[in-house]
Amino acid sequence: MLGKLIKHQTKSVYRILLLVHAAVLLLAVIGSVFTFFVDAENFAASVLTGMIGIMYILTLMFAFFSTQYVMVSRFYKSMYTDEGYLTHTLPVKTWQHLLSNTIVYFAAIVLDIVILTLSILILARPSGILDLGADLMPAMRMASAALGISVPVLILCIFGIIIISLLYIIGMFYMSLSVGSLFPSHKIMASVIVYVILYIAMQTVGLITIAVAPWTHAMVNADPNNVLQMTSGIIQFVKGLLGFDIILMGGGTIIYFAVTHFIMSRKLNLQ
Amino acid sequence: MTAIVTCKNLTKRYSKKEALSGVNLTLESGRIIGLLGPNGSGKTTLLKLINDLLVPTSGELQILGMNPGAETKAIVSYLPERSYLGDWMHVKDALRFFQDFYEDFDYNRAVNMLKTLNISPQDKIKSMSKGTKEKLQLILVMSRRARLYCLDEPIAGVDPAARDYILSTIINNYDEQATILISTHLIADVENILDDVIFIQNGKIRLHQDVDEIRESQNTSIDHLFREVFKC
Repeated sequence: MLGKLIKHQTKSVYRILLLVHAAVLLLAVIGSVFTFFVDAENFAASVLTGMIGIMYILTLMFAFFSTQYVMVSRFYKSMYTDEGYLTHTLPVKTWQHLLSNTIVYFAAIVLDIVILTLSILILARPSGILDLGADLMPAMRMASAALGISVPVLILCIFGIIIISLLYIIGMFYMSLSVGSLFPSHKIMASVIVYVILYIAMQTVGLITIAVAPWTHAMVNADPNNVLQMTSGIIQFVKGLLGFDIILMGGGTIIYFAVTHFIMSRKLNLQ
Repeated sequence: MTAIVTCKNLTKRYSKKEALSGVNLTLESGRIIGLLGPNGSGKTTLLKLINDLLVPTSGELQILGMNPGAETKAIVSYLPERSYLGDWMHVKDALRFFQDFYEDFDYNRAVNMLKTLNISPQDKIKSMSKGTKEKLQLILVMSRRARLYCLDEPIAGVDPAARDYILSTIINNYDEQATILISTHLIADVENILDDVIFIQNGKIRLHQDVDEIRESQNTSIDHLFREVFKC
């Protein structure tokens, strides 16, 4: 059943997502070809290159926003509007609905990242890619040495943090929409308000924790003239901050999905 | 006869309003049952509870001895009052959707019924009229070989010719082992196909009886009895 849900949800969104992301790649190709053939000293060519660059950035931003809008609105329409009568009467458990929506949303964001990376690689061309590679590996080795972990473990940690962050964002949207659906009217406005409140609350918790955390004090109290102490303080701060972020986002994600599941299974009231 | 739906002291409360109040009801299989009542009487609430779209405040509701959930949804076919197909769908997407999720969906039956209405699988649902969408939804629902069909106001808001089509679709695709529960306030149009009627008002059952028994004992039509019982 999970596979079928993912299949049909993908069917409902793939056309628009493919369209906007294809536009990003197309502009990257145009930009890359244009800069390859055009004389950089030519003023008119420079202006045109700049315009293509601006269009690329705008299209990229539009693609990112489109992904969020399409996925969030698809979830809302299929769960909490008239389409919900079809969705919630399928012989499927609530957690399967939630998981399939999350998987499709996650895949859409991964598509964003892949398209962004591809478009940068297209614009940078082979020489640019080699330069990037030459800078990246030493930076990774330095970071892993400072944190006391190997490069593969560092890469795993980075991926882990990205995954948790994405699930956190998705969970926050779902919970906001679910709580908003409980209101008798102005449900979408209620969802937006819930989202804003959640965002501010989590940011506040984060800032207060950082302010009082021992790892912050280690950095703040380090002697700026003592390089070793300063470096150690910064490393402690980064480690502490990362650890705290993982716990906060991990815990937040669990809560968001648990609340969403509860509302979908016990408090659903389609109009 | 097997009981397909049993309700014991079923109550559903929305903040201050009690939409269903201590309902005790048993629906037998193989019957066409009219769930009749004025607006706001609790008909849709009962149908939603059967289809696990609402959770009871108290009491019990079971379908073939099971609580509403994924298992009961596999044997209950529901036609809500609303248009529930996604605007992004073509008719073929809706057919594929039902075929994928419901093992009892008869794809060929659905396609044949669509042909008689000149609805092409390539048609976009967004471009359909309200009446055509309702007919499409009815075809999808009645193309399932379910144990229980719940039809919420299937003939409200459509023209008389469409009403006749909808009622004939219901009768012609009716499996004698199955139960059909039709909620409506247009009694005159449906009473000839009903085996049983349930009168519901203010969340309480006023009457649950065989249609022939009512006609013989009361010497009146169901429509006339409804008007008497629910006189304003």
